Amino acid sequence: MPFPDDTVEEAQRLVRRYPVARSALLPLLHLVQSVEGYVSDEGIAFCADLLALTKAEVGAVATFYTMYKREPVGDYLLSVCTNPTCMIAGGQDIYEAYVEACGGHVDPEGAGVMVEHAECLGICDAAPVVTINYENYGPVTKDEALELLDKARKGEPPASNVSGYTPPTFKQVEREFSGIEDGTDDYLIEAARLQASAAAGPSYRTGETDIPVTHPGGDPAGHGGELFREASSIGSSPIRQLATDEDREIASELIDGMRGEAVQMAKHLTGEDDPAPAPPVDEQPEMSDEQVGAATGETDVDPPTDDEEA
Amino acid sequence: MGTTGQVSAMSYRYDVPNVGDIDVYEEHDGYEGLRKALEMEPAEIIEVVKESGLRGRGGAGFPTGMKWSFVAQDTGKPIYVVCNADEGEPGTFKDRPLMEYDPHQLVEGMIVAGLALNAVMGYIYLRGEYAASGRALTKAIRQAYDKGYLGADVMGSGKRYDLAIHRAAGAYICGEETALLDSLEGRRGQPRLRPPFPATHGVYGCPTTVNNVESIAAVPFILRNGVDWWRQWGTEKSPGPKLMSIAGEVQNPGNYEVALGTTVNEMIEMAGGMLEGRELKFWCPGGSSTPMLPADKADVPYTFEAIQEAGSLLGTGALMIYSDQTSVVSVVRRWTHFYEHESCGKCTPCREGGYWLGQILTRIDTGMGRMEDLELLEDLCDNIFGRAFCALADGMVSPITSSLKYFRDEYVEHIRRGASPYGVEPRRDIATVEFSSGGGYLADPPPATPKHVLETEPVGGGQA
Repeated sequence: MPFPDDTVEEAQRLVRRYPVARSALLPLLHLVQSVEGYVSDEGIAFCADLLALTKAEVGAVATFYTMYKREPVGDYLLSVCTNPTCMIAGGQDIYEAYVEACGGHVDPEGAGVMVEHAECLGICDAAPVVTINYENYGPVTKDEALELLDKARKGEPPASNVSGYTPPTFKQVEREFSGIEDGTDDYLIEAARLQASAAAGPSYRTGETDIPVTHPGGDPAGHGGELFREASSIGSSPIRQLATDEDREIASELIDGMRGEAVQMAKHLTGEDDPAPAPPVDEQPEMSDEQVGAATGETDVDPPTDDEEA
Repeated sequence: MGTTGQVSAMSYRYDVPNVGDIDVYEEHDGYEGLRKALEMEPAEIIEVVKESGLRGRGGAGFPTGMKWSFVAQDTGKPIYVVCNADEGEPGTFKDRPLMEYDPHQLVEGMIVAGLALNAVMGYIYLRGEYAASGRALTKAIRQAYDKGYLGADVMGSGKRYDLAIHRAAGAYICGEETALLDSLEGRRGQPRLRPPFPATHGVYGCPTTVNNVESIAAVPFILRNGVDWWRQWGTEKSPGPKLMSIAGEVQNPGNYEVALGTTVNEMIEMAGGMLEGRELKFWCPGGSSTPMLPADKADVPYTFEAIQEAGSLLGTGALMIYSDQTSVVSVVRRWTHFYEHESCGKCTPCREGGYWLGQILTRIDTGMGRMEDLELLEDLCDNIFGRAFCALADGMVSPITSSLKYFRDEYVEHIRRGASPYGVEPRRDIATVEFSSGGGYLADPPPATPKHVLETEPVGGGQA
C-alpha cells in the first residue's frame, strides 16, 4: 500500500462522516489526488479496499467526473472556459494558444502544468476566464493568459483578481476539496452514527444495481457494518471501539430479524469464516464451496466444482 | 404587478465588509429568520413558504413550499435536506457570489429548512470547481457549530441538526436532482427513474428535499420580513426578487437583483446597454437550456408565465445577451458540444444524438454543410426531445430548435457561403470592458478590482 498511515487514517475519518460508507467516495478520490497528484490504479484500489467495492466500481466513478485526472497533473491545472460567452470574448483562442505553448495538454517542465478546456465556470461576467487550480482570472487578453501560463510554469502564479487568493498547488487544493480539513469531523461522525442507528435506517444499494439492500452487513466499512458486526459478535475493525452501549442495543434489535443468510454473509465479509488473512482481491483463489454458499446465500445450489471433488 | 426594476433584497448584505463572519452577519439581521423559525411549528413554516409563492430558483420553478409538503414525515427514517449548489448551467453565476459574499445566508436557510422538515441532516452539494465558495461556506459552518446554531442543540431548542459540504467533482448532470443524489451516494451521477420521487425515496432511500441555493437562502428572508414583503415584487404567480446573472455583449456584465416582472430590455439597460456598435440579436432567458428568443421579444416581463408564453423558460435567471455581430450557428454549435460532453450516457437518444448533432453543426459551421442538414437536425431533435430520462436531452435540443425557428435564414446563408454571413471573427475586445467582480451590487463604490490580472499583488487568503 503506497499510501502513508496518515492518509489511511484520514480516509477512514472521511468514510465515517457519512451514514453509508460509499458516500465518501468522491471526497476519497479528492484525497487520493492530494497525495498522488492524480488518480492512479493504486489510488483506485485504495478506495475500493476501503469501501469494499470492486476496482471497476471505483474506476467507473473516477472516470465519470472531469476533476479526477488519470495522468499526473503537475503543480498547476489551467482551465480555459470555451463556452459561448467566453468563446466570443476570445476563450477558444486562449485555449488553442495554451495547447500550442505546451505542445499538448501536459507540460511537465518546471512546476508542471496541465491545460484543459472547460465548460462554463460560472463567472461569465469576467469572460474570458482562465482558472489556475480553480482560482478565477478574468477578463484576460491572450497575452495576459500566456503570461499566466508562464508564471504557473515557474511555480509563481499571481493572486486571482476575482477572489484575491493565490492558488495553492494542485495537491493542496485537492486536499481542500476532500473536506478533510473542514474542521467539523467530530460533529459529522456523531451525526452519521446516529443516522445509521435510526429505527429505520438509511438504506443502500450494492454494486450498480437499483435494488436496495437494507441489511447493514452490506456496508462493511461504514457505521452500519460496524453496528452489525458488533451485534453479531463477529469480526473486528479498528473502529469497533467507537460503538457505545446504546449502539449495541439498537444493533442487537436489528440483528434479531436477521439470521441465516445475513449472518453468513456478514461472516464472509468480515473474514470470520476464513482463518487465513484474505489475499488481495486480484489474487483471490477460488472460493471453497462453503464460501461460495455464504457469499451468494445459495447453499442449496451445488457449485460447478462439486462433482469433481466428490 | 408589484414594483419592477433593480432591487436590493436578498443581495443587500453583499457589499458589507466581512459579512462572511458570523458576528458581522448577526449585526445585519443575520439568523433572525432562524430565531423566528424556532418559535413556529414545522407545518407553519411550510405554510408561510407556500403563501409567499416562492418558486424554485434552480430552473424548473416548482413551488418550494409545495415541494416541502410532499416530504414524507411518517416513515421513521431520517429526513435529509440537500442543497443543490452544483451551479453549472452555461451563463449562470448567481449562487457562487451568494455563497462567496454572504455564506451564512445559505447556512441559515439550510437550518430553517431542516426545522421545517424535521430533518436530521443537511448536505450542500457544492460544485467541485467552486473553491472560493467552499472556503467561505466551510468557515461559516464551523462558526455556526461553534455558536451552537448547528449540532446537538440548535439554538437551545433541543433539536439536533447537522450540516456538511459535499464537494462534487465536475459533472453538469449532477445538477439534476436524482443524478445529484446518486452522486452524493458515491456513484456516477446518472438520473434515477421517478417515481419514487426524492420526497419519499431520496438520498439513502430516505425522504429528501433537493432545493437550489437561492430558494433555500430566500426562506429566512421570508420568515423575517413576512409574506407581504416578498410579494411586493413580481406577479401573483411569480412573486419576489430574483438574482440575475447578466452576461454576454453588454457593457457591465454581472450579478443584478431585480423584481420579477422587469423586462429584458430594462435589464440590458441596467447592465449599461449593449456594447458599442452592436445591437441585440438573440438572448437566452435562463441559461443555454432555455430556448433562445429574438430581439423583438425583449420587452416581455421577466416572469415564469410571461417567458413561457413567449416560447421559452425562465430557467436559472442567467440572461445571456448576444449581438448582431455574433454568429448564431457558432454559438449553438458550441453549446451542443457542451451537452454532448455532459451527457451522462444513460439514455441512447441523448448520448448518441448529442454526438451526431455536434458532428452536423461542426460540418455546417466549418463550411461543409448541406441544405438537407437542416431537416436532419430537426429530425434528430424531434427524436431526442422528451425521449430521455431527464431534461438534459431537452436542454440539448432547445438551442438548435429555437435557433432554427428564428434564424433559419442565417443557417441557410451560412451553408450557402460556407461561412458565417457576418464574416466577423469572434469578438476579442470584450476583454477590455471595464469589469468589477460584483457587477451591479458592488457599484457603490466598486472594490478595486484590477482589470489587468497580472498587476495584482498576491494577498493570499484575502477576500476581494
